[in-house]
Amino acid sequence: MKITTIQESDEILLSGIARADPVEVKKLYTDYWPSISGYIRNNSGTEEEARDIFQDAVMVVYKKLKNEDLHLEVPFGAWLLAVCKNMWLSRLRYKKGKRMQEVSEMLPDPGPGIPQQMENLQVEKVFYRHFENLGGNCREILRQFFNKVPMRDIALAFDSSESYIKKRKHHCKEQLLNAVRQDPLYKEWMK
Amino acid sequence: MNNASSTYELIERYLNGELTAAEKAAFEKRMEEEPAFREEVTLHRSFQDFITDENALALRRAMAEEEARLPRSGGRILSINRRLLAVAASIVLVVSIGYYFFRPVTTARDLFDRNFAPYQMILSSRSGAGTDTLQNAAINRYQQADYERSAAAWSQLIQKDTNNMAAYFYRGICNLVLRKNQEAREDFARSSAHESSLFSQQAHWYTALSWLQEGRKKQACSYLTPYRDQEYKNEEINELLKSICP
Repeated sequence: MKITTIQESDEILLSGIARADPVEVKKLYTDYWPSISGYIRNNSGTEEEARDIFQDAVMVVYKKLKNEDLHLEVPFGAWLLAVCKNMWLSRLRYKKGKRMQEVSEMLPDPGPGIPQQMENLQVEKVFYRHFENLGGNCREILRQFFNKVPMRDIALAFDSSESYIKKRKHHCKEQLLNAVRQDPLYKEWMK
Repeated sequence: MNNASSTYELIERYLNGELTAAEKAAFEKRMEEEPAFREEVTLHRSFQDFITDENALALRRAMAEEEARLPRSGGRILSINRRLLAVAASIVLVVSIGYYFFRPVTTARDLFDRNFAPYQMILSSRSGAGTDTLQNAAINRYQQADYERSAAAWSQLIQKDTNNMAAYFYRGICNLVLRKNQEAREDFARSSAHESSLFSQQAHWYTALSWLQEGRKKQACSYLTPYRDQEYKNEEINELLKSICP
């Protein structure tokens, strides 16, 4: 992975985010959540909205790391705050009648491609929510099947036959896709 | 193989680059001509992108765990001037509409408390040995409101038969009472895995309540909306949706 940062500690943190290391994720929340949550709640947002924005911003970071598209010329904390501010201001513009403390503030551009990434992230978020609502057995079968684990090995792990796993995989996928199709956020995105 | 199953397989083969040149050309022509089919392919592509990015999934889970540990710090913060304004407005409100000012805000937890009651026990005790004795213990503990021990007995029954939908459902209720919301949701998902399951509609209702118990109205709204027409608790579901959906 190739990333450019100006601080060594940022590089460690970002490598941790790229591999979903729980220790670095914890550090991320300890170091940056209070200021970002404070900013959003100071600007007409609720705590739940702050959580949403923070998660979306971290997923943008992750996608950029995955595409080797993250070159920081400022400390990571400042960059993350700028991304969150931009996301929050866009969301506020979308909601009518809201007033902001810092509406005229000029924010640094966090980089190209974020609007497109945001759109994909919203769909991913819908998938994630419904995926977590599936039974553990369904989640595991789908995960293994689509990550190319041989059918024989999956059947062995679940102590059943390949034909059962094939049927189950279809059933689980259908259950997930039906839930996504009916999700109001997904419908809005498909308009 | 039914229609849905063969369509799913065809789309998967296309996304995996497994179609022959002729099949691929026909597939892409169909996408051009049928917007609904194109939409379906997009949905499957999004699913594959989601499921194959294991680190993204792990990251979302790690964040969810961190979020669960965060202290709840309440709603919006008002600046000093706006706070003074709010106080002044409050005085006017107290004078003018009295009672309404003091109406409590309905929190997710309030809604949970208002709507939650453990599901009635519809299974009956049976005379016998082995599994029957275990089921009787699970039922009795449940009826005595000893949810911890009842959950343990349901777990043993599940170990013996992983398709025991009733055991998943009642263990889910026990977990909900014990505030183990994630575990409860997993149990409800298993108990409603088959359309024909006796408990699927009940499981939808209790899954939504598990989100409310966690204080997450938005998740409860998005989960419950597709089930607004179901028969079980229909009136309550529609009432609840009015309170939790923006």
